[in-house]
Amino acid sequence: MDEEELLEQARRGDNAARTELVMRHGRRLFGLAAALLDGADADVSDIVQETFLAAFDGGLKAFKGNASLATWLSGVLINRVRKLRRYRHSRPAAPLDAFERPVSVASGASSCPATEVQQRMDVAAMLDCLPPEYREVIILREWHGMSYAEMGSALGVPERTAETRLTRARRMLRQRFAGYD
Amino acid sequence: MVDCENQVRLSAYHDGELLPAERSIVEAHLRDCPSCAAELAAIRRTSGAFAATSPREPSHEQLLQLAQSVRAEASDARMLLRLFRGTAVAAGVLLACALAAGVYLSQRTRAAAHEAMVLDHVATGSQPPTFATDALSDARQSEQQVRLARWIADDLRGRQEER
Repeated sequence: MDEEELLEQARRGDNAARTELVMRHGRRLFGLAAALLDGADADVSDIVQETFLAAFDGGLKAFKGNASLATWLSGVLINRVRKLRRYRHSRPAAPLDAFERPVSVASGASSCPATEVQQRMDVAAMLDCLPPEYREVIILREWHGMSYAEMGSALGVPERTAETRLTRARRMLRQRFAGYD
Repeated sequence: MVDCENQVRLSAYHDGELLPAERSIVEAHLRDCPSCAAELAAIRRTSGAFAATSPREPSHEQLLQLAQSVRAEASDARMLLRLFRGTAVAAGVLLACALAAGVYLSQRTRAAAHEAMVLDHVATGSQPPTFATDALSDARQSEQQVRLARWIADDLRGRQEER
């Protein structure tokens, strides 16, 4: 069934349609929320739930079909994460001087991380050092494979801005993890 | 290593976002620019690190729980809960206002009674009673009235003793 039609049925209260959409997009949205929040499962689940409810309860009008449903839902989720972050003030942007020197994980990483756990830790460290807006583009590109146009749509910024942020994010990572191999 | 101005398009090149003509230009440049070649290698290493991992995934139970939590009847229940919470907050505010008004009126009444009693004692020349300083007498207005009454009583008593 067409996703737009599925969304319309979900909005009307069709639980089968709601479940179908959760099964199609829930896993990806959960991963996105987990990467953006780096928080507890409860926070992640709450954000994903709110995202679906926003889409089902009244967000259909906002979905004009310009982007895919996946991209649009990602954008809704990112906005919710931003609101939560603003509310908590718990994750201020890392100061720029934090990117001036390579840190210890780089030297550890340069000895070729053999295990997936080590790789996961390295990636988590990379994400952790990025300010929120740069973290968003890296996750959308590297893990969700979004094009620049899709990133711009999800983030609510022009495509060129998404590209610039991605370039800067990668530069920050290169400076901080200079020895990563 | 000096940064090259062409580095700004390397991400787009790496991500396959360039048109064929632009790609050719970047590729030709990469052959002659070690700085850009190093930058591209760094981008590839970073991308490789992400490609080797994947974002956290929910368990099947979590996914089912999520599907359950967004069912239509669950939405209705949440709406009712929100409505109830809103009503409860409004009722709480009204109750607090009513209590505050009651306390204020009670203080005014007590202060007026104290004042009348002191003036009565002053008029008859007897010793005014000591006022209990209970919680209600903390109100500024009541305290001022009590202090004024005491001052009047002390002053009158002093004049009587002088005579």
